[in-house]
Amino acid sequence: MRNKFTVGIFSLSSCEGCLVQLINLDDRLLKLLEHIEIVDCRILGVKKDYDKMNIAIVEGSVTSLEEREKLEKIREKADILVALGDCACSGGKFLVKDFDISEARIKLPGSREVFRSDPLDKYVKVDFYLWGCPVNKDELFSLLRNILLLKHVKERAVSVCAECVLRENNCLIELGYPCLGPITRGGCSALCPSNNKACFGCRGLAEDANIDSLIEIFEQHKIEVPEYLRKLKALVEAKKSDKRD
Amino acid sequence: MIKEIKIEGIHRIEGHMDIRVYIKDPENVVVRAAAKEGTRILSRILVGRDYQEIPEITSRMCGVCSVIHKLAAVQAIENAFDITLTNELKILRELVAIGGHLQSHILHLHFFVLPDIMKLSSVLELLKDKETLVKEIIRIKRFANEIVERLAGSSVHPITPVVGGFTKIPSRKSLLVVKEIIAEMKNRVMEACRPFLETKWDGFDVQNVFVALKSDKGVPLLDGKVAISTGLEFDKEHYAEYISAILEDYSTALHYKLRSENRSYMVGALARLNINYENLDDETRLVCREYNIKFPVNSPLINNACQALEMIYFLNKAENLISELLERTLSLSKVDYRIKPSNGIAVVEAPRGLLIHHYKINEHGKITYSNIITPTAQNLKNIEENIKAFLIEALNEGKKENLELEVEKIVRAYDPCISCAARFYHESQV
Repeated sequence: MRNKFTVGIFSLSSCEGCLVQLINLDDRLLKLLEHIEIVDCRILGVKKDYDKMNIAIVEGSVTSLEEREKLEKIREKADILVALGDCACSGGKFLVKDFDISEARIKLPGSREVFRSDPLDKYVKVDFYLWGCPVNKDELFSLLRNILLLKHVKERAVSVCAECVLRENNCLIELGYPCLGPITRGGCSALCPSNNKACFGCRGLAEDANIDSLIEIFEQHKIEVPEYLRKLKALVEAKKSDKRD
Repeated sequence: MIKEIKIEGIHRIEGHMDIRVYIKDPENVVVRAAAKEGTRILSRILVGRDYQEIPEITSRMCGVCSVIHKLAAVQAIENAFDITLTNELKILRELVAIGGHLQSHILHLHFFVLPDIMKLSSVLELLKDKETLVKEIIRIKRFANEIVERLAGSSVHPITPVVGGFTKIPSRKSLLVVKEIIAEMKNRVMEACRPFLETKWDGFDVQNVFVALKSDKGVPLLDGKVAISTGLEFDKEHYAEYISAILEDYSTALHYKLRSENRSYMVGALARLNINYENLDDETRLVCREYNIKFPVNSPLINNACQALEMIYFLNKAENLISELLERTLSLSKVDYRIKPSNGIAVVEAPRGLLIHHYKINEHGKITYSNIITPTAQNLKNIEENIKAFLIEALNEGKKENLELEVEKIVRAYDPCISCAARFYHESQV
């Protein structure tokens, strides 16, 4: 039998809800523990001696120099790095939709720096991204299982809207709600729309997101276009022109 | 200096916290409890946003107690718009809140504290020879999660509670399942709580002041007056006259003290029971008697036993509430309301203690001011004071061994949640 995969579980600045989801895998976590050995996890009180680990699971965004250094050390020791949740994948920006944090740039107590909230891949290479706030347990389990089985992992290319249609829900946009399902990366099985709540885009933009067209649909349905959607559009356009330059 | 104690990144708590102790002589001990979580300036991010976005964002302050952070924001905004829920919706809200408390208490007691009792460093070590126990812990945790999931859409960051009610109310079938889960949990909870009730949490000699919501019925979570254990009581609107913030340059969280007593104070399960113990149901009282727990008590370590008692109490309460709900018809999911410029305050009990959300909203429903005071931030000063009292006693008795571990145990008894605490910074508060 091959040795168990060694796994480190780390948390930068976050609400730790994604770590709670990891613990909430319950029996499936016990199953995973037959194949992995956790070598580092503060919340579970594990701290073993190790120079290398096979998988590092990192939750949270980078908000200070200390956290950046911590992340870089984790990356050095890990074969595979998984960004767990929105904060790690995008710096939490898709949830708070706060693309202009410069207005909040102030000196903070207990830290010498000004405020920032950066995704992991601004500083290190990320091998796998798990979106969602919090991450979906089924997705989390299947990613870990696939890594252990050395299977090819492919991101699903559907939007929340497509998953919502499959669940035969009533369309919230048709009912007058500003639902972001059509432009949001799927994988959550349309959890919010299935609870009569408009998708607010916590999983980030789908690959083929067409923001202009969504704004048009909102206008057709006389839905007030939320300010964050316009901000999102401006951000995407700025990124595109960055690439062209 | 005779000793310096440095504990960095205390294990088995939510978030990052360091403890520094400088001992010059037994009479001269300085303790610093520093939140090290990066500040996410949530209070600032909220300003300028539509009121409906607020509960979504505040829920993200903490993954362990997301339920209460969502409910607190919803309630504060309802307070601003003068919204009164139907009795059925109020019962449903309270059940959701209880579910959140059960989730959080189980995580704290069984994943964070149990290893201390068993003299292990991690619950994972239990897997080697106590696998059935671990499976039982996982089972009751899953039950608590399922209560919240069925009543509020998701066990972490609940979906359905919104201003005015819920986006979706659970079906009768789902409520019946929740009733069964509560009954099943009740059967198992006594056994699961026994280790925390059996442990002798004598601790050390310390005088604490406690603050919690008080009502004449039961242990309130979502309403009531704010009571201080010295006898003072005040309405939620007056919180700022009694509680004041202290800015410490070593911590990313604000610290707090009571103006009226000019000292630190403790919030949480121990505070709730110290203030409301007369309202406990017969069964929970019997358990207190069996384990010789007599309120009021002072040592913060007993907070662990109080969380266990609360699990028993809240399950009994949930059983009554769900029966009551099933007798009524739950048809309306949301009440009508109008946006108006106003000021809204909610004071509720989070699993870790008193939680205050305060917002000002303009005529367009946009937030113009926000202030959130979390339980752990309120407890930080008291954690420092208690560690100091413990160390002075220990040093006077000549104890030198294992001080670090004992200090960690005191910190863990408070069940600190630094994710919640290290968020709130206002220029105006400094």
